[in-house]
Amino acid sequence: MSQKHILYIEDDTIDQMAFKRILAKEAWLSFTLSNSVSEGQKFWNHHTYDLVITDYHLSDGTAHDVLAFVRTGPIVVVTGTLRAEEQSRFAELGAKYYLAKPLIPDEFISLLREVLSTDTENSVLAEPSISFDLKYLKDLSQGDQEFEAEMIQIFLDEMPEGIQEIHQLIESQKWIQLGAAIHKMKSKIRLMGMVEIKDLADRLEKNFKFEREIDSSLAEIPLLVKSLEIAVEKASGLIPQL
Amino acid sequence: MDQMKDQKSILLIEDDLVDAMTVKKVLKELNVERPLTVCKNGEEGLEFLENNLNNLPGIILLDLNMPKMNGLEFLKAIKSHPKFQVIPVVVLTTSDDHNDKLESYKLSIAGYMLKSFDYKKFIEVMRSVKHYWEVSELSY
Repeated sequence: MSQKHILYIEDDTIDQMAFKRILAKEAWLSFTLSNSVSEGQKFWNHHTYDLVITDYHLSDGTAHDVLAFVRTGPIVVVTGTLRAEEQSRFAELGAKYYLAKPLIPDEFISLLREVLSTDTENSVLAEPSISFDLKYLKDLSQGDQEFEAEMIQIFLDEMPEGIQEIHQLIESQKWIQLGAAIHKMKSKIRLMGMVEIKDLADRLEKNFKFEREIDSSLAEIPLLVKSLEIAVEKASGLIPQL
Repeated sequence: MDQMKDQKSILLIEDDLVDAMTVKKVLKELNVERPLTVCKNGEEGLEFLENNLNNLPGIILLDLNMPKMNGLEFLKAIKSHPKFQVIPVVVLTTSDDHNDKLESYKLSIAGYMLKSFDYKKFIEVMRSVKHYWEVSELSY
């Protein structure tokens, strides 16, 4: 599964630690932690998430307040006191899934897989088309297949880390560093001859580097990230069986 | 063998693995057999130069966009250093930013080369670096 990013709203330290521990083994999942409804709403307004997971009781409100601002996209409510009438109220408000505490790791992860695979199909972002033009790599390798495999492996190894870094820098609103993170991806984009996103990466790098047009640039980040995720999936099939 | 011993090394300062491997491959393609040292940022590059166990390189190929100490900071540091300032530095970058170019030339670089998406162009760029270097090599 491609890289997914979760907004996790929880004010209890022990529950936060349990959550972190469960997700630690899942490289495809990253998350942003928020301690309250108001902070969660701020993150939600400025960033893009594949899923929201929220505790029911929060210091400044409840899961209902979270449901009120998360109108689209999947949401999971985690609660220690789950009653039938509460479930139906959540459903009316658009929450799709409920879980009782304590979280059982295997059950929780399989739910996340289910939620995130079905919702990708309904996602707002249409699947970008990505193709590789490996002429540059072929010219460079001069027929050396081992070299080609090594270069593609660098792409496969470094791209997911780069995507993760982009998410983190957006959260911390470090625009100049975000520009640098996008810059780091450009050699890989060039290597794989990804013409569809070369110009986009160039433009975003410059905008963030000079801290200009931040809002419109942020709106283009999901396309870049999605394209790179697809590229990683596709590229893994390129390495010849050595 | 003696000739090899006399050959000064190349110091490549580049944080990007793909770009470092590309430069390596192109140097091989151009039959450049001089030893190549790769440092991941300006700080590492400076440490390499400052270490008395290392011979000074004959040329430095320098990327600009790097973490820790970037290319321009590195240039400032070595161009104010009595021993290192004579080493020719060729900037090898994707940045076509006019200011980067200007600042680099102010810091007495030997050349400013753009990393190309086109392999043939890249080979030509590196070939001209090689020629420049062979013609102008200093003894120090």
